[in-house]
Amino acid sequence: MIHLKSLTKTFPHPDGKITAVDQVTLKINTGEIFGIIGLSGAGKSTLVRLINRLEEADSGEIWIDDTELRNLNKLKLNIVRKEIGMIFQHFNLLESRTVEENVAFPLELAGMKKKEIGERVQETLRLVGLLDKAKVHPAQLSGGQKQRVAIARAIANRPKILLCDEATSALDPQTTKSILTLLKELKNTLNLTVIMITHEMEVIREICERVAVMQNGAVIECDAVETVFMHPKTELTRSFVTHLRPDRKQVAPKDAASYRLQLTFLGDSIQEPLLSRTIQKYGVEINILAAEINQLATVPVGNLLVEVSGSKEEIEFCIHAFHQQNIQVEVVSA
Amino acid sequence: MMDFQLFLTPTLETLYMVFLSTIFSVLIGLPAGVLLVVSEENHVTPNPTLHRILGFIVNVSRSIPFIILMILLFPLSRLIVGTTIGTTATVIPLSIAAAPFVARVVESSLKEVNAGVIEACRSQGASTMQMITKVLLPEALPGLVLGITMTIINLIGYSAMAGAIGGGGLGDLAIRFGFYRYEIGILIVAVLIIIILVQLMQYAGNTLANAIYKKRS
Repeated sequence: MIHLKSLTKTFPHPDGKITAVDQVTLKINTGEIFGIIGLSGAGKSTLVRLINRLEEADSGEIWIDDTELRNLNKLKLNIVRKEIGMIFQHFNLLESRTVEENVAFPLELAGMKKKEIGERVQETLRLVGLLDKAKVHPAQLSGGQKQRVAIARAIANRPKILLCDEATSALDPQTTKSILTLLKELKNTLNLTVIMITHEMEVIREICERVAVMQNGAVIECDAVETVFMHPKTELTRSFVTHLRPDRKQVAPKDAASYRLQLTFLGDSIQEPLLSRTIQKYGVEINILAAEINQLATVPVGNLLVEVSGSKEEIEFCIHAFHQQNIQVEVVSA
Repeated sequence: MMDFQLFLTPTLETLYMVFLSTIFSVLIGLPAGVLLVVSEENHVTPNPTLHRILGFIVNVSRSIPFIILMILLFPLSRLIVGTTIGTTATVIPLSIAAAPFVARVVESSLKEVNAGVIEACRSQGASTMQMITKVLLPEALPGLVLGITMTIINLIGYSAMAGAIGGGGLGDLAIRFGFYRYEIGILIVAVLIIIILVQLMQYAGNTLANAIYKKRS
């Protein structure tokens, strides 16, 4: 388990100092994919750098299992770092080395024997699906392939933890998907704990089990991903979640005598034909304006934008019924 | 017809001086340049005091005009080589004059290494020494090759200047025959040989650097 205890980091600035990470306390379970989302400048990249001490925290504690990292000297820190892989937005591969030499790099640092290095590099390149590019220099690879090399390098030492700093932000949506799929596979085969830093809710939706939302250096929300999708507590989180929903502005204008409702539900919680049942029971008319299912890593979350027409009373009954079905109802406009 | 032998010996002397002083100046300048970079703030092993002191020494030694430096270093040449005259004695001031230049050249090449790459390697637990030998120097290799080419060319120029105060080589030939005896022909040929040497060195340096770039692209 990774346990961060009130980590704080400030940077000097002409007008006083900037608090990049503000009293962050987080527990990340072994074997989970944990997301940290925030807008740029929220402090998430700094936070992840505090974990492996690429940046030194001003105060707080960093526990990985039974080791407190801030107390380690340089030598011991370098040993612990070999158990923490890291990948970056811009891949950061060594241009002077071929793909296989890049993957061999951390193994050389660890003092592994040449023959073993060769075997491990082969094995690792097979895991990321790049065996055929072993002898090539990174300059000849696409962005997605470069990130695969970077992942191979990060996991070559078979670390326990993988830190991903905006690892898919420089990639197109399709490549992003394939990299996320790879990370999910690797998490399972190598039993990794993964921390994903991102500004894209799609990434969180795709592979994370839990997520922390950061704003101005502080964690303002931290919960299971489906909970965050169902009940976002803060304005920022809501904006991340609704960003994934169909655009309401593009939907036709509302007819005066109706309510426009946003329904959110966990995909596996709906056992019966909900809308037709409601129509029959309450005598309202329901018009679906937009619908989407967000396939989360754990469960699907559904979103419906509907227009309900009927008397005020009928509509209120109907909202009550939705609530009883564990459906989150938001009145967009009445 | 001018005597071929007249030019051969000074050319070899120049090559000898340049060759040895390149080696010695790199031996001093390379570690100094590496230290300048890694001791910088936010680099591998920040050490502001060391960085400032080293930078100061480099600047001071680069400010002294070569001809003055050579005279100042006569005692050192006498101590090491036993004399202040001749090609071997000249290697000492040449090496010391070029070393701070090498340090700056190495510094600027190593600074070109992407900060993200350095960060990635630190995250994998590289020690300072591994950082230098496995990351900084290999990544900066093409720049270093071009920098050392520049150093060699500078040294060809300096070695000619050293001829003025008893250093030997092509500069000495040009001054003794061309300047003191008004044998303009010899002066011109000596200068031509220097030009050819410079051209050859630059060509070799560019070719080597391009070959490295090409291998990596």
